[in-house]
Amino acid sequence: MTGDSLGRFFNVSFAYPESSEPAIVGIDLEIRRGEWIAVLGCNGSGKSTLAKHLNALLVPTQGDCFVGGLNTRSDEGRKEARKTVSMVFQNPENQIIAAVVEEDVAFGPENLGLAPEEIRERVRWALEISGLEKMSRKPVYALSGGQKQRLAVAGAIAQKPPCLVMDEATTMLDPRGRQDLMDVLAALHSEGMTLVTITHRLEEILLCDSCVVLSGGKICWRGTPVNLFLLGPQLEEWGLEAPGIVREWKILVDRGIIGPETMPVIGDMVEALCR
Amino acid sequence: MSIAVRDLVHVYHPGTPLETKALDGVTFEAAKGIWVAVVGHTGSGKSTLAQHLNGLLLPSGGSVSIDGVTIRSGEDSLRVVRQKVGLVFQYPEQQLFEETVFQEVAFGPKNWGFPPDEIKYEVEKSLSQVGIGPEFFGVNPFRLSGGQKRRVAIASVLSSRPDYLVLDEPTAGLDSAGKRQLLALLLDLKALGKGIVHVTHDMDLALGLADIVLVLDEGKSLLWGPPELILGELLEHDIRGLVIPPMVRFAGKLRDLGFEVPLTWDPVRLADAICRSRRP
Repeated sequence: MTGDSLGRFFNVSFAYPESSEPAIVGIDLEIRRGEWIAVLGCNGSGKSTLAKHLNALLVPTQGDCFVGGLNTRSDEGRKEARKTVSMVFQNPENQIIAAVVEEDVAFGPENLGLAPEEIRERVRWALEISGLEKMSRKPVYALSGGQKQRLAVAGAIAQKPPCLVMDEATTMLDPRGRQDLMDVLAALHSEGMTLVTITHRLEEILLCDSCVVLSGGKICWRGTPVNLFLLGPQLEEWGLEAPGIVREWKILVDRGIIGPETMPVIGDMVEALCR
Repeated sequence: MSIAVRDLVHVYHPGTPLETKALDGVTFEAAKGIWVAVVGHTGSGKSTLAQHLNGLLLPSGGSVSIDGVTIRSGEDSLRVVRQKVGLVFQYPEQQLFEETVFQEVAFGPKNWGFPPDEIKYEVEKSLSQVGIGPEFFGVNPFRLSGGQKRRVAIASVLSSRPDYLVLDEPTAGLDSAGKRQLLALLLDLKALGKGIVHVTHDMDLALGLADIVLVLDEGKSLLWGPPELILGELLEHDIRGLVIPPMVRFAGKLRDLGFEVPLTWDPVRLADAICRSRRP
Protein backbone atom coordinates (compact mmCIF):
# COMPACT_ATOMS: atom_id res chain seq x y z
CA MET A 1 0.00 0.00 0.00
CA THR A 2 1.32 3.44 -0.84
CA GLY A 3 0.69 6.53 1.23
CA ASP A 4 1.55 10.22 1.33
CA SER A 5 4.36 11.82 -0.61
CA LEU A 6 7.97 10.95 0.31
CA GLY A 7 9.68 12.82 -2.50
CA ARG A 8 8.54 15.30 -5.15
CA PHE A 9 10.30 16.74 -8.16
CA PHE A 10 8.87 19.99 -9.57
CA ASN A 11 10.22 20.78 -13.03
CA VAL A 12 13.73 19.68 -11.96
CA SER A 13 16.67 20.17 -14.32
CA PHE A 14 20.30 19.53 -13.52
CA ALA A 15 23.48 20.23 -15.48
CA TYR A 16 26.93 19.10 -14.31
CA PRO A 17 29.37 22.01 -14.08
CA GLU A 18 31.66 20.67 -16.84
CA SER A 19 28.80 19.97 -19.24
CA SER A 20 26.88 22.32 -21.49
CA GLU A 21 23.95 19.88 -21.81
CA PRO A 22 21.67 19.23 -18.82
CA ALA A 23 21.64 15.61 -17.56
CA ILE A 24 17.95 15.81 -16.62
CA VAL A 25 15.34 18.23 -17.89
CA GLY A 26 11.95 19.29 -16.49
CA ILE A 27 11.38 16.27 -14.26
CA ASP A 28 7.98 16.15 -12.54
CA LEU A 29 7.69 13.10 -10.34
CA GLU A 30 6.14 12.03 -7.08
CA ILE A 31 7.35 9.09 -4.99
CA ARG A 32 4.78 7.96 -2.44
CA ARG A 33 5.61 6.28 0.87
CA GLY A 34 5.62 2.49 0.60
CA GLU A 35 5.81 2.60 -3.19
CA TRP A 36 8.33 0.57 -5.20
CA ILE A 37 9.19 2.60 -8.28
CA ALA A 38 11.63 1.77 -11.06
CA VAL A 39 13.54 4.43 -12.97
CA LEU A 40 14.57 3.00 -16.33
CA GLY A 41 16.67 4.10 -19.26
CA CYS A 42 19.86 3.41 -21.16
CA ASN A 43 23.35 4.57 -20.08
CA GLY A 44 23.46 8.36 -20.04
CA SER A 45 19.67 8.80 -19.89
CA GLY A 46 19.91 10.65 -16.57
CA LYS A 47 18.54 8.04 -14.17
CA SER A 48 21.42 8.13 -11.68
CA THR A 49 21.39 11.94 -11.74
CA LEU A 50 17.68 11.85 -10.90
CA ALA A 51 18.26 9.38 -8.06
CA LYS A 52 21.03 11.47 -6.51
CA HIS A 53 18.55 14.32 -6.03
CA LEU A 54 16.56 12.14 -3.66
CA ASN A 55 19.16 12.20 -0.91
CA ALA A 56 20.47 15.62 -1.92
CA LEU A 57 23.78 14.38 -3.25
CA LEU A 58 22.74 16.73 -6.05
CA VAL A 59 20.56 19.82 -5.81
CA PRO A 60 18.57 21.01 -8.87
CA THR A 61 20.06 23.73 -11.05
CA GLN A 62 16.45 24.57 -11.93
CA GLY A 63 13.17 23.59 -10.29
CA ASP A 64 12.75 22.13 -6.81
CA CYS A 65 13.06 18.77 -5.14
CA PHE A 66 11.23 18.09 -1.87
CA VAL A 67 11.97 15.16 0.43
CA GLY A 68 9.84 14.64 3.53
CA GLY A 69 8.11 17.92 2.68
CA LEU A 70 11.33 20.00 2.79
CA ASN A 71 13.11 21.65 -0.14
CA THR A 72 16.59 20.16 -0.63
CA ARG A 73 17.94 23.65 -1.38
CA SER A 74 17.79 24.39 2.37
CA ASP A 75 20.22 22.97 4.97
CA GLU A 76 17.26 21.49 6.79
CA GLY A 77 15.95 19.94 3.58
CA ARG A 78 19.31 18.34 2.76
CA LYS A 79 19.54 16.96 6.30
CA GLU A 80 16.04 15.53 6.00
CA ALA A 81 16.83 14.01 2.58
CA ARG A 82 19.96 12.27 3.90
CA LYS A 83 18.03 10.90 6.88
CA THR A 84 15.16 9.74 4.70
CA VAL A 85 16.95 8.18 1.74
CA SER A 86 19.83 5.67 1.75
CA MET A 87 21.54 4.69 -1.46
CA VAL A 88 23.22 1.48 -2.62
CA PHE A 89 25.52 1.79 -5.63
CA GLN A 90 26.90 -0.51 -8.32
CA ASN A 91 30.16 -1.63 -6.71
CA PRO A 92 29.80 -3.08 -3.20
CA GLU A 93 33.56 -2.78 -2.61
CA ASN A 94 33.16 1.01 -2.44
CA GLN A 95 30.46 0.86 0.22
CA ILE A 96 31.91 -1.46 2.84
CA ILE A 97 33.88 0.13 5.65
CA ALA A 98 34.57 -2.43 8.39
CA ALA A 99 36.51 -5.70 8.28
CA VAL A 100 33.81 -7.89 9.84
CA VAL A 101 30.24 -8.24 8.55
CA GLU A 102 28.33 -7.23 11.73
CA GLU A 103 30.71 -4.35 12.44
CA ASP A 104 30.05 -2.96 8.99
CA VAL A 105 26.28 -3.12 9.50
CA ALA A 106 26.63 -1.50 12.94
CA PHE A 107 28.59 1.48 11.56
CA GLY A 108 25.48 3.48 10.51
CA PRO A 109 23.42 2.96 13.69
CA GLU A 110 26.50 3.73 15.84
CA ASN A 111 26.89 7.03 14.01
CA LEU A 112 23.26 7.83 14.74
CA GLY A 113 24.19 7.61 18.46
CA LEU A 114 21.70 4.84 19.23
CA ALA A 115 21.74 2.80 22.44
CA PRO A 116 23.78 -0.46 22.28
CA GLU A 117 20.65 -2.69 22.55
CA GLU A 118 19.00 -0.79 19.70
CA ILE A 119 22.17 -1.12 17.58
CA ARG A 120 22.28 -4.89 18.25
CA GLU A 121 18.61 -5.24 17.34
CA ARG A 122 19.01 -3.28 14.11
CA VAL A 123 22.09 -5.26 13.09
CA ARG A 124 20.24 -8.53 13.77
CA TRP A 125 17.21 -7.36 11.75
CA ALA A 126 19.28 -6.03 8.81
CA LEU A 127 21.39 -9.20 8.62
CA GLU A 128 18.33 -11.43 8.83
CA ILE A 129 16.39 -9.64 6.10
CA SER A 130 19.51 -9.63 3.90
CA GLY A 131 20.05 -13.36 4.43
CA LEU A 132 23.43 -12.84 6.09
CA GLU A 133 22.55 -13.78 9.68
CA LYS A 134 24.85 -16.83 9.62
CA MET A 135 27.78 -14.75 8.40
CA SER A 136 27.72 -12.03 11.04
CA ARG A 137 31.25 -12.83 12.34
CA LYS A 138 32.78 -13.48 8.92
CA PRO A 139 35.53 -11.25 7.58
CA VAL A 140 34.26 -9.15 4.69
CA TYR A 141 36.98 -10.41 2.35
CA ALA A 142 35.54 -13.93 2.59
CA LEU A 143 32.19 -12.90 1.06
CA SER A 144 31.23 -13.42 -2.59
CA GLY A 145 30.26 -10.43 -4.77
CA GLY A 146 26.56 -11.13 -4.21
CA GLN A 147 27.01 -11.42 -0.44
CA LYS A 148 28.99 -8.15 -0.40
CA GLN A 149 26.16 -6.36 -2.20
CA ARG A 150 23.65 -7.77 0.29
CA LEU A 151 25.98 -6.49 3.04
CA ALA A 152 25.88 -3.03 1.43
CA VAL A 153 22.06 -3.22 1.57
CA ALA A 154 22.17 -4.40 5.20
CA GLY A 155 24.43 -1.46 6.08
CA ALA A 156 22.04 0.96 4.38
CA ILE A 157 18.84 -0.38 5.93
CA ALA A 158 20.29 -0.71 9.47
CA GLN A 159 19.78 3.05 9.68
CA LYS A 160 16.07 2.30 9.08
CA PRO A 161 15.72 4.87 6.31
CA PRO A 162 12.15 5.34 5.08
CA CYS A 163 13.47 4.98 1.51
CA LEU A 164 16.17 2.89 -0.16
CA VAL A 165 17.51 3.75 -3.63
CA MET A 166 19.28 0.95 -5.53
CA ASP A 167 21.40 2.59 -8.23
CA GLU A 168 22.29 -0.18 -10.73
CA ALA A 169 23.03 -2.26 -7.64
CA THR A 170 22.80 -5.61 -9.45
CA THR A 171 25.20 -4.79 -12.28
CA MET A 172 28.17 -6.66 -10.87
CA LEU A 173 26.20 -9.65 -9.61
CA ASP A 174 25.70 -13.03 -11.27
CA PRO A 175 22.12 -14.24 -11.92
CA ARG A 176 21.91 -16.02 -8.56
CA GLY A 177 23.23 -12.94 -6.74
CA ARG A 178 20.67 -10.79 -8.56
CA GLN A 179 17.84 -13.13 -7.63
CA ASP A 180 18.90 -13.16 -3.96
CA LEU A 181 19.03 -9.36 -3.91
CA MET A 182 15.55 -9.13 -5.48
CA ASP A 183 14.28 -11.39 -2.66
CA VAL A 184 15.76 -8.97 -0.12
CA LEU A 185 14.04 -6.02 -1.82
CA ALA A 186 10.70 -7.86 -1.91
CA ALA A 187 11.02 -8.48 1.85
CA LEU A 188 11.78 -4.78 2.49
CA HIS A 189 8.84 -3.73 0.30
CA SER A 190 6.50 -5.98 2.28
CA GLU A 191 7.74 -4.25 5.46
CA GLY A 192 6.59 -0.94 3.97
CA MET A 193 9.94 0.54 2.91
CA THR A 194 9.82 2.89 -0.10
CA LEU A 195 12.09 1.53 -2.83
CA VAL A 196 13.53 3.16 -5.91
CA THR A 197 15.24 0.79 -8.36
CA ILE A 198 17.48 2.40 -10.98
CA THR A 199 18.16 -0.11 -13.73
CA HIS A 200 18.11 -0.97 -17.40
CA ARG A 201 17.28 -4.63 -16.67
CA LEU A 202 13.55 -5.11 -17.13
CA GLU A 203 13.52 -8.47 -15.30
CA GLU A 204 14.13 -6.48 -12.12
CA ILE A 205 10.95 -4.42 -12.29
CA LEU A 206 8.29 -7.14 -12.24
CA LEU A 207 7.47 -6.54 -8.57
CA CYS A 208 7.48 -2.72 -8.83
CA ASP A 209 4.27 -0.75 -8.43
CA SER A 210 5.17 1.72 -11.16
CA CYS A 211 7.98 2.79 -13.44
CA VAL A 212 9.21 5.80 -15.36
CA VAL A 213 11.41 5.69 -18.45
CA LEU A 214 14.03 8.37 -19.02
CA SER A 215 15.41 9.23 -22.42
CA GLY A 216 17.74 12.15 -23.06
CA GLY A 217 17.22 13.31 -19.48
CA LYS A 218 13.41 13.59 -19.82
CA ILE A 219 10.65 11.33 -18.57
CA CYS A 220 9.25 9.85 -21.77
CA TRP A 221 6.87 7.27 -20.30
CA ARG A 222 5.27 6.36 -16.98
CA GLY A 223 2.95 3.54 -15.94
CA THR A 224 2.93 0.00 -14.57
CA PRO A 225 5.52 -2.65 -15.51
CA VAL A 226 2.88 -4.72 -17.35
CA ASN A 227 1.79 -1.73 -19.46
CA LEU A 228 5.46 -1.06 -20.22
CA PHE A 229 5.98 -4.64 -21.40
CA LEU A 230 2.96 -4.30 -23.70
CA LEU A 231 4.79 -1.57 -25.64
CA GLY A 232 7.00 -4.21 -27.30
CA PRO A 233 9.43 -2.81 -29.91
CA GLN A 234 9.15 0.74 -28.51
CA LEU A 235 11.32 -0.47 -25.61
CA GLU A 236 14.32 -0.88 -27.91
CA GLU A 237 14.17 2.78 -28.92
CA TRP A 238 14.71 3.63 -25.27
CA GLY A 239 17.64 1.22 -25.02
CA LEU A 240 15.64 -1.31 -23.01
CA GLU A 241 15.38 -5.01 -23.70
CA ALA A 242 12.53 -7.24 -22.56
CA PRO A 243 13.68 -10.58 -21.08
CA GLY A 244 12.74 -13.78 -22.95
CA ILE A 245 9.79 -14.67 -20.71
CA VAL A 246 8.30 -11.18 -21.19
CA ARG A 247 8.71 -11.44 -24.99
CA GLU A 248 6.94 -14.82 -24.82
CA TRP A 249 4.16 -13.33 -22.68
CA LYS A 250 3.73 -10.44 -25.15
CA ILE A 251 3.39 -12.81 -28.13
CA LEU A 252 0.82 -14.93 -26.27
CA VAL A 253 -1.12 -11.79 -25.26
CA ASP A 254 -1.00 -10.39 -28.82
CA ARG A 255 -2.31 -13.69 -30.17
CA GLY A 256 -5.12 -13.69 -27.63
CA ILE A 257 -3.91 -16.96 -26.03
CA ILE A 258 -3.66 -15.36 -22.59
CA GLY A 259 -5.14 -12.10 -21.32
CA PRO A 260 -3.05 -9.01 -20.50
CA GLU A 261 -4.14 -9.36 -16.86
CA THR A 262 -1.90 -12.45 -16.63
CA MET A 263 1.44 -11.51 -15.07
CA PRO A 264 4.55 -12.32 -17.15
CA VAL A 265 5.76 -14.93 -14.66
CA ILE A 266 5.92 -18.69 -15.20
CA GLY A 267 3.27 -19.68 -12.63
CA ASP A 268 0.62 -17.24 -13.86
CA MET A 269 1.28 -17.98 -17.53
CA VAL A 270 1.05 -21.76 -17.01
CA GLU A 271 -2.14 -21.34 -15.02
CA ALA A 272 -3.67 -19.15 -17.75
CA LEU A 273 -2.81 -21.72 -20.43
CA CYS A 274 -4.30 -24.59 -18.43
CA ARG A 275 -7.61 -22.76 -17.85
CA MET B 1 43.16 -25.79 -36.30
CA SER B 2 41.68 -25.14 -32.88
CA ILE B 3 42.16 -24.50 -29.20
CA ALA B 4 42.33 -27.99 -27.71
CA VAL B 5 42.05 -28.45 -23.95
CA ARG B 6 42.68 -31.97 -22.61
CA ASP B 7 42.08 -33.08 -18.99
CA LEU B 8 43.10 -29.63 -17.76
CA VAL B 9 43.76 -29.35 -14.04
CA HIS B 10 44.61 -26.14 -12.22
CA VAL B 11 45.56 -25.96 -8.56
CA TYR B 12 46.03 -22.59 -6.87
CA HIS B 13 48.63 -22.34 -4.05
CA PRO B 14 49.70 -26.02 -4.25
CA GLY B 15 51.20 -27.47 -1.10
CA THR B 16 49.89 -24.65 1.12
CA PRO B 17 46.86 -24.52 3.45
CA LEU B 18 45.18 -22.37 0.75
CA GLU B 19 45.48 -25.10 -1.91
CA THR B 20 42.37 -25.05 -4.13
CA LYS B 21 41.62 -27.13 -7.20
CA ALA B 22 39.93 -24.66 -9.57
CA LEU B 23 39.87 -26.92 -12.65
CA ASP B 24 39.57 -30.66 -12.44
CA GLY B 25 39.95 -32.51 -15.74
CA VAL B 26 38.33 -30.08 -18.22
CA THR B 27 38.31 -31.18 -21.87
CA PHE B 28 36.92 -29.21 -24.81
CA GLU B 29 37.78 -27.84 -28.22
CA ALA B 30 37.14 -24.43 -29.80
CA ALA B 31 37.64 -24.16 -33.56
CA LYS B 32 38.02 -21.09 -35.79
CA GLY B 33 34.71 -19.66 -36.98
CA ILE B 34 32.86 -21.24 -34.04
CA TRP B 35 31.34 -19.57 -30.97
CA VAL B 36 31.86 -21.54 -27.77
CA ALA B 37 30.11 -20.30 -24.62
CA VAL B 38 31.62 -21.33 -21.29
CA VAL B 39 28.97 -21.07 -18.57
CA GLY B 40 28.92 -21.86 -14.87
CA HIS B 41 28.26 -20.33 -11.49
CA THR B 42 30.62 -17.88 -9.78
CA GLY B 43 33.63 -19.93 -8.69
CA SER B 44 33.04 -22.73 -11.20
CA GLY B 45 36.43 -22.14 -12.81
CA LYS B 46 35.39 -20.11 -15.89
CA SER B 47 37.88 -17.28 -15.48
CA THR B 48 40.69 -19.68 -14.55
CA LEU B 49 39.98 -21.61 -17.75
CA ALA B 50 40.01 -18.38 -19.81
CA GLN B 51 43.46 -17.50 -18.47
CA HIS B 52 44.80 -20.90 -19.55
CA LEU B 53 43.78 -20.31 -23.15
CA ASN B 54 46.54 -17.81 -23.81
CA GLY B 55 49.09 -19.09 -21.33
CA LEU B 56 48.55 -16.57 -18.53
CA LEU B 57 48.20 -19.62 -16.31
CA LEU B 58 50.00 -22.91 -16.93
CA PRO B 59 48.39 -26.31 -16.33
CA SER B 60 48.95 -28.19 -13.08
CA GLY B 61 47.89 -31.23 -15.13
CA GLY B 62 46.63 -31.99 -18.65
CA SER B 63 47.35 -29.74 -21.61
CA VAL B 64 46.23 -26.76 -23.68
CA SER B 65 47.33 -26.46 -27.28
CA ILE B 66 46.63 -23.78 -29.87
CA ASP B 67 46.69 -24.89 -33.51
CA GLY B 68 48.85 -27.84 -32.46
CA VAL B 69 51.31 -25.80 -30.33
CA THR B 70 51.22 -27.00 -26.73
CA ILE B 71 51.52 -24.25 -24.12
CA ARG B 72 54.58 -24.79 -21.94
CA SER B 73 56.42 -22.64 -19.44
CA GLY B 74 59.41 -20.59 -20.55
CA GLU B 75 59.25 -21.59 -24.21
CA ASP B 76 58.71 -19.69 -27.43
CA SER B 77 55.31 -21.38 -27.56
CA LEU B 78 53.99 -18.75 -25.13
CA ARG B 79 54.83 -15.95 -27.55
CA VAL B 80 53.14 -17.71 -30.46
CA VAL B 81 50.08 -18.57 -28.40
CA ARG B 82 49.63 -15.08 -26.96
CA GLN B 83 49.51 -13.58 -30.41
CA LYS B 84 47.07 -16.21 -31.66
CA VAL B 85 44.71 -15.92 -28.69
CA GLY B 86 43.49 -12.47 -27.63
CA LEU B 87 42.19 -12.37 -24.07
CA VAL B 88 39.62 -9.74 -23.12
CA PHE B 89 39.25 -9.57 -19.36
CA GLN B 90 36.12 -8.68 -17.44
CA TYR B 91 35.75 -4.88 -17.40
CA PRO B 92 38.69 -4.50 -19.83
CA GLU B 93 38.29 -0.73 -19.79
CA GLN B 94 39.83 -0.77 -16.30
CA GLN B 95 43.12 -1.71 -17.96
CA LEU B 96 43.30 1.19 -20.41
CA PHE B 97 46.42 3.22 -19.73
CA GLU B 98 47.66 5.11 -22.81
CA GLU B 99 47.09 8.81 -23.45
CA THR B 100 45.16 8.48 -26.70
CA VAL B 101 42.84 5.92 -28.23
CA PHE B 102 45.31 5.40 -31.10
CA GLN B 103 48.26 4.74 -28.76
CA GLU B 104 46.14 2.37 -26.69
CA VAL B 105 45.26 0.23 -29.69
CA ALA B 106 48.80 0.46 -31.12
CA PHE B 107 50.37 -0.90 -27.92
CA GLY B 108 49.89 -4.58 -28.80
CA PRO B 109 51.14 -4.60 -32.42
CA LYS B 110 54.07 -2.36 -31.38
CA ASN B 111 55.08 -4.93 -28.78
CA TRP B 112 54.81 -7.71 -31.33
CA GLY B 113 57.25 -5.79 -33.52
CA PHE B 114 54.86 -4.95 -36.39
CA PRO B 115 56.39 -2.39 -38.80
CA PRO B 116 54.97 1.17 -38.41
CA ASP B 117 52.75 1.09 -41.53
CA GLU B 118 51.25 -2.23 -40.42
CA ILE B 119 50.64 -0.85 -36.93
CA LYS B 120 48.76 2.10 -38.42
CA TYR B 121 46.76 -0.23 -40.69
CA GLU B 122 45.84 -2.62 -37.84
CA VAL B 123 44.90 0.20 -35.45
CA GLU B 124 42.64 1.87 -38.00
CA LYS B 125 41.09 -1.43 -39.05
CA SER B 126 40.45 -2.60 -35.46
CA LEU B 127 38.94 0.71 -34.39
CA SER B 128 36.73 0.78 -37.46
CA GLN B 129 35.61 -2.81 -36.73
CA VAL B 130 34.42 -1.80 -33.27
CA GLY B 131 32.72 1.33 -34.63
CA ILE B 132 35.15 3.94 -33.25
CA GLY B 133 35.72 6.65 -35.89
CA PRO B 134 38.93 8.63 -36.61
CA GLU B 135 37.54 11.60 -34.65
CA PHE B 136 38.31 9.59 -31.49
CA PHE B 137 41.89 8.60 -32.37
CA GLY B 138 43.44 11.53 -30.50
CA VAL B 139 40.99 11.44 -27.58
CA ASN B 140 42.09 10.34 -24.10
CA PRO B 141 40.43 6.92 -23.56
CA PHE B 142 39.42 7.93 -20.04
CA ARG B 143 37.08 10.58 -21.48
CA LEU B 144 35.01 8.01 -23.38
CA SER B 145 31.68 6.53 -22.26
CA GLY B 146 31.60 3.05 -20.70
CA GLY B 147 30.50 1.36 -23.94
CA GLN B 148 33.13 3.21 -26.00
CA LYS B 149 35.90 2.27 -23.55
CA ARG B 150 34.85 -1.38 -23.80
CA ARG B 151 35.04 -1.21 -27.61
CA VAL B 152 38.48 0.44 -27.53
CA ALA B 153 39.67 -2.28 -25.14
CA ILE B 154 38.47 -4.93 -27.59
CA ALA B 155 40.08 -3.10 -30.53
CA SER B 156 43.37 -3.11 -28.60
CA VAL B 157 43.19 -6.92 -28.58
CA LEU B 158 42.05 -7.20 -32.22
CA SER B 159 44.94 -5.05 -33.46
CA SER B 160 47.40 -7.88 -32.72
CA ARG B 161 45.51 -10.01 -35.31
CA PRO B 162 44.53 -12.90 -33.03
CA ASP B 163 42.84 -15.96 -34.56
CA TYR B 164 40.86 -16.59 -31.40
CA LEU B 165 39.17 -14.20 -28.99
CA VAL B 166 38.55 -15.26 -25.41
CA LEU B 167 36.17 -12.84 -23.69
CA ASP B 168 35.36 -12.95 -19.97
CA GLU B 169 31.84 -11.52 -19.43
CA PRO B 170 32.24 -8.99 -22.26
CA THR B 171 28.73 -7.54 -21.88
CA ALA B 172 28.82 -7.00 -18.09
CA GLY B 173 27.68 -3.52 -17.18
CA LEU B 174 26.62 -2.52 -20.72
CA ASP B 175 23.08 -1.37 -21.40
CA SER B 176 21.03 -3.18 -24.01
CA ALA B 177 22.15 -0.95 -26.90
CA GLY B 178 25.82 -1.39 -25.93
CA LYS B 179 25.27 -5.13 -25.52
CA ARG B 180 23.60 -5.48 -28.93
CA GLN B 181 26.44 -3.58 -30.66
CA LEU B 182 29.11 -5.68 -28.99
CA LEU B 183 27.42 -8.99 -29.76
CA ALA B 184 26.89 -7.95 -33.39
CA LEU B 185 30.62 -7.19 -33.58
CA LEU B 186 31.50 -10.61 -32.17
CA LEU B 187 29.16 -12.29 -34.68
CA ASP B 188 30.91 -10.37 -37.49
CA LEU B 189 34.32 -11.49 -36.19
CA LYS B 190 33.09 -15.07 -36.07
CA ALA B 191 31.88 -14.74 -39.68
CA LEU B 192 35.40 -13.54 -40.57
CA GLY B 193 36.70 -16.85 -39.22
CA LYS B 194 37.80 -15.90 -35.71
CA GLY B 195 37.16 -18.46 -32.99
CA ILE B 196 35.10 -16.97 -30.14
CA VAL B 197 35.26 -18.30 -26.59
CA HIS B 198 32.66 -16.41 -24.58
CA VAL B 199 32.82 -16.85 -20.81
CA THR B 200 29.50 -15.86 -19.25
CA HIS B 201 26.97 -16.64 -16.56
CA ASP B 202 24.16 -15.34 -18.79
CA MET B 203 22.44 -18.47 -20.03
CA ASP B 204 20.12 -16.46 -22.31
CA LEU B 205 23.15 -15.17 -24.22
CA ALA B 206 24.90 -18.53 -24.27
CA LEU B 207 21.88 -20.38 -25.61
CA GLY B 208 20.99 -17.74 -28.17
CA LEU B 209 24.45 -17.15 -29.63
CA ALA B 210 26.77 -20.10 -29.10
CA ASP B 211 27.32 -22.97 -31.49
CA ILE B 212 28.56 -25.05 -28.59
CA VAL B 213 28.10 -24.63 -24.84
CA LEU B 214 30.48 -25.90 -22.16
CA VAL B 215 28.92 -26.04 -18.69
CA LEU B 216 31.41 -26.00 -15.82
CA ASP B 217 30.52 -27.01 -12.31
CA GLU B 218 33.02 -27.12 -9.45
CA GLY B 219 35.88 -27.01 -11.98
CA LYS B 220 34.63 -30.01 -13.98
CA SER B 221 33.11 -30.05 -17.47
CA LEU B 222 29.56 -31.12 -16.77
CA LEU B 223 27.93 -30.70 -20.18
CA TRP B 224 29.31 -30.03 -23.65
CA GLY B 225 27.33 -29.69 -26.88
CA PRO B 226 25.05 -27.57 -29.07
CA PRO B 227 22.52 -25.57 -27.00
CA GLU B 228 19.48 -27.52 -28.20
CA LEU B 229 21.09 -30.82 -27.20
CA ILE B 230 22.10 -29.82 -23.67
CA LEU B 231 18.89 -27.99 -22.69
CA GLY B 232 17.08 -31.08 -21.45
CA GLU B 233 20.01 -32.13 -19.29
CA LEU B 234 20.37 -28.57 -18.01
CA LEU B 235 16.80 -28.65 -16.77
CA GLU B 236 17.29 -32.04 -15.12
CA HIS B 237 20.47 -31.08 -13.30
CA ASP B 238 20.03 -28.55 -10.57
CA ILE B 239 23.37 -26.93 -11.25
CA ARG B 240 24.41 -24.80 -8.32
CA GLY B 241 24.22 -21.10 -9.06
CA LEU B 242 23.30 -21.55 -12.71
CA VAL B 243 20.02 -19.85 -13.49
CA ILE B 244 18.13 -21.51 -16.31
CA PRO B 245 16.36 -18.83 -18.41
CA PRO B 246 12.74 -18.51 -17.24
CA MET B 247 11.50 -19.13 -20.79
CA VAL B 248 13.19 -22.53 -20.90
CA ARG B 249 11.78 -23.38 -17.46
CA PHE B 250 8.35 -22.25 -18.75
CA ALA B 251 8.66 -24.60 -21.75
CA GLY B 252 9.79 -27.42 -19.43
CA LYS B 253 6.81 -26.86 -17.13
CA LEU B 254 4.41 -26.98 -20.10
CA ARG B 255 6.00 -30.24 -21.28
CA ASP B 256 5.49 -31.71 -17.81
CA LEU B 257 1.80 -30.81 -18.16
CA GLY B 258 1.48 -32.61 -21.51
CA PHE B 259 1.91 -29.69 -23.94
CA GLU B 260 3.85 -30.73 -27.03
CA VAL B 261 6.34 -27.90 -27.09
CA PRO B 262 10.10 -27.86 -27.69
CA LEU B 263 12.60 -26.79 -25.07
CA THR B 264 13.62 -23.54 -26.71
CA TRP B 265 14.80 -20.02 -26.01
CA ASP B 266 13.06 -18.71 -29.17
CA PRO B 267 9.81 -16.99 -28.09
CA VAL B 268 8.11 -17.19 -31.51
CA ARG B 269 8.90 -20.90 -31.91
CA LEU B 270 7.57 -21.64 -28.44
CA ALA B 271 4.41 -19.54 -29.00
CA ASP B 272 3.75 -21.35 -32.32
CA ALA B 273 4.09 -24.71 -30.57
CA ILE B 274 1.77 -23.59 -27.75
CA CYS B 275 -0.87 -22.57 -30.34
CA ARG B 276 -0.59 -25.95 -32.10
CA SER B 277 -0.62 -27.86 -28.84
CA ARG B 278 -3.83 -26.13 -27.68
CA ARG B 279 -5.79 -26.95 -30.83
CA PRO B 280 -8.32 -29.79 -30.40
